[in-house]
Amino acid sequence: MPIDQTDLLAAYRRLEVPLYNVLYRWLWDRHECQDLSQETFMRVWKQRARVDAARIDALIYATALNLARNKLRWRGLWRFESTDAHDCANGESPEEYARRCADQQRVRAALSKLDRGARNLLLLSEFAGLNTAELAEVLQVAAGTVASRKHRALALLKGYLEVCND
Amino acid sequence: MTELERWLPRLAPPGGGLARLQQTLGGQPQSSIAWLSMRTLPLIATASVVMFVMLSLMLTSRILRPPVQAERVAVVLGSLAHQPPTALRIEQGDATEVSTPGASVRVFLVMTR
Repeated sequence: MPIDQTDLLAAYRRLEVPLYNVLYRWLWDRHECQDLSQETFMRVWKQRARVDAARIDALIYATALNLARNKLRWRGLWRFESTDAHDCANGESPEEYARRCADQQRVRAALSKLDRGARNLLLLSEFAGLNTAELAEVLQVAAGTVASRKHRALALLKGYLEVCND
Repeated sequence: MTELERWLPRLAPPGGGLARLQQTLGGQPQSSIAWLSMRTLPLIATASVVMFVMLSLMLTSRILRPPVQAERVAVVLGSLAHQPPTALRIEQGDATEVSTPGASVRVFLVMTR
């Protein structure tokens, strides 16, 4: 059954935060992430006649990840690098903020060492809470390999973070 | 808190995303058919009117003023039919008589140099 505006807005309310968090770990730029979220939803809206309401979440995640990949290619082409960092939180001292930024840089470096599939798998399972079948659908992998891939990706990330800590 | 949650804390997106999406959607028609109609209907209507006017002009000119050249040809052929072949005088070139079913009609092809 095709979607209408109510379905799309409901999906936005449901997916805004998880999608933003997934995209942020790719683009590391708040405003670019929000723009990309908007673009994702508009793309889905444009093809609404062919979108099944039951599978809208998977489609939105897949579309957003493809757009993020294109954006990164574009950045690479122009050698543009975002320097965005989340602002100092309320009550956070400059030392805490500096530590948080350093942690973020470390995580960013570790994540960048993961291949695209492993990175998407970790981010989607962590932020979007997708189950195995949904992950398999979004990432176009066999459902039977999702758990082992996720375990391997997590182990790799831990390993990279330890290297970054040293 | 899991290890992953510690490394990847959940961040709040900048506000206003939903309102922005609603605004963008508000600027668009509800259905793709309506969107298509809004853009293409004026074009189709204009093209139809132009075609209708052109056809009307063509038909009117045919009805009110029949082709003059066809009339002239008919007169020439008519006059040729009542004259012997020798009446066709060729100054420079060849004339070929083409056989026709009607005995009183003679048609010549004239090639000029």
